[in-house]
Amino acid sequence: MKRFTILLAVIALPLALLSQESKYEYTPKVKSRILIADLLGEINVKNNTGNAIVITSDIAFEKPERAEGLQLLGAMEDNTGLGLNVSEADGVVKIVGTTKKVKDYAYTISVPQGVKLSIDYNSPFARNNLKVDSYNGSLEIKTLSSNVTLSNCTGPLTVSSVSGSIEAEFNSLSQEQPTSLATVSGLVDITLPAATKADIQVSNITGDVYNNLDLVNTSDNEKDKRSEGLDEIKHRNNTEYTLNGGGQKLLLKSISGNIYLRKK
Amino acid sequence: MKCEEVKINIPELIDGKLDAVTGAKMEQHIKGCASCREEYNDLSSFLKFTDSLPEIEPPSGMKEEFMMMLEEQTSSQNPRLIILPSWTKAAAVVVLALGTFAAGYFSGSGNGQNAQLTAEVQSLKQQVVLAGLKDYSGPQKIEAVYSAAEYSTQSADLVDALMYTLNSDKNINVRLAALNVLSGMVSDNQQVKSGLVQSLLVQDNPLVQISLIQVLTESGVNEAKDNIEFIKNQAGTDPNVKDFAQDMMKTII
Ligand SMILES: [Zn+2]
Repeated sequence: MKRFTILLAVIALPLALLSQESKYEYTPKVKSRILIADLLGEINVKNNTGNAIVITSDIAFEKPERAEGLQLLGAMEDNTGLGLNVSEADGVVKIVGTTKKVKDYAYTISVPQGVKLSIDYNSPFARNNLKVDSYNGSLEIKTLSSNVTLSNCTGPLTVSSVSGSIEAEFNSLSQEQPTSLATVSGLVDITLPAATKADIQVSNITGDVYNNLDLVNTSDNEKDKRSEGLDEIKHRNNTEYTLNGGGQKLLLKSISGNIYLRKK
Repeated sequence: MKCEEVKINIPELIDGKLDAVTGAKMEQHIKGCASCREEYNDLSSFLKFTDSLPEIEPPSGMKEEFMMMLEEQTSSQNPRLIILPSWTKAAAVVVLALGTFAAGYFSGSGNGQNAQLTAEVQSLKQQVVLAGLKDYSGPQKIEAVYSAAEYSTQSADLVDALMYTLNSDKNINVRLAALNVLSGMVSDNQQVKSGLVQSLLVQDNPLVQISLIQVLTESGVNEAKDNIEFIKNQAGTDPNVKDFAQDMMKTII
């Protein structure tokens, strides 16, 4: 163990000295929507109070020597110096990775408050995780196997994944529009302030649900007269609950993973 | 070639109606331009969806009705829409409704229509795609799906709109919301039943596939058997979906 630590220090130290943050800023003409796609690196998203999108990265990508004088075939122009192409059209700012090599680097993308953001992380080559901290505003995320962690968020959000887990810790739940979190085999873990008003729909097939919120079951189990005194065998695949009298919809789904609902 | 020029001609490119030189120029541009490429992809997936629909012969007067619906979209004073609580919802619902109306119409417009109408339909296709996929965020569309179900009666238009959303929206959570609402209608609505069975063939996301199989098998829709079998045996299908389909097949008689 000790030897490993020393080894790690020896390797990590020069790397830490070498790596330096590069920065790129872009102020959108229309403050409307941002789409991040084909960016396979680790992505951290947060809000800023200004008008510019600020991207920082530890990228240190260089063209192979052999490629001197050649262009990367089929790739978009790297107009940021960070292995990214940033463009704006029809009120949508697109941030797109220009090479698959960006997967080895980490990006922090800071977005002006109130802009709608979509992140398409649905690539088999994206093995990193997505972290979103203190983001207030509409956010859409799609991943294949990457985990999504949201802290200090409000929504409204949509997150979907195939094998990734979704963890969301809410400061408050946006009452403007619904929030929907869904995955096939990952877990869903949400933390809500105790006083949150919500209509929560939980759907799962083979996973379990753990909870310490004061949920009230509202699924309509209407029975006809004949079935009185008998238990229902076939039940609907969704169970609906209200929290503190009900509010905006919070839709939670995992097919085979567990679902956790926590009080903050 | 300029982006505007390219975008206008995308429908023709997909339909293979351009001359070789223009076609090649367009493809060249689309390769290098993210904005045009997205529009191209949007439209192709939309057309793939409409192609998957069964052929419907458009009834006479359809064109007039169609143009009227477009006008409804632009004037917010339409009495059919005022029941909705806010303009965002109303607008989103109209987009949904318009989307499917268009889808049902296009699928039947292949034979013997005049060129002008085809051109109109083509540009409408684009509008529908753009309005449906660009202008509204995922949460807004989910809100629209649920409020459409809450505030409208179970009309054929509503079912069409939800079915369109289920089959073509880019956002998986939005598709799930549409399925959720549709699943409440499946037991006593033949249109919903056959629509969901058909939908099995166009879905490629494992979350939607599993949810759809679950709704159909739990509602005892035995007509879904062949299409579930099809998904199960398809080479590219996610192993989670294959396993689930395998298990649920046992519940179908
Ligand atoms: Zn272009």
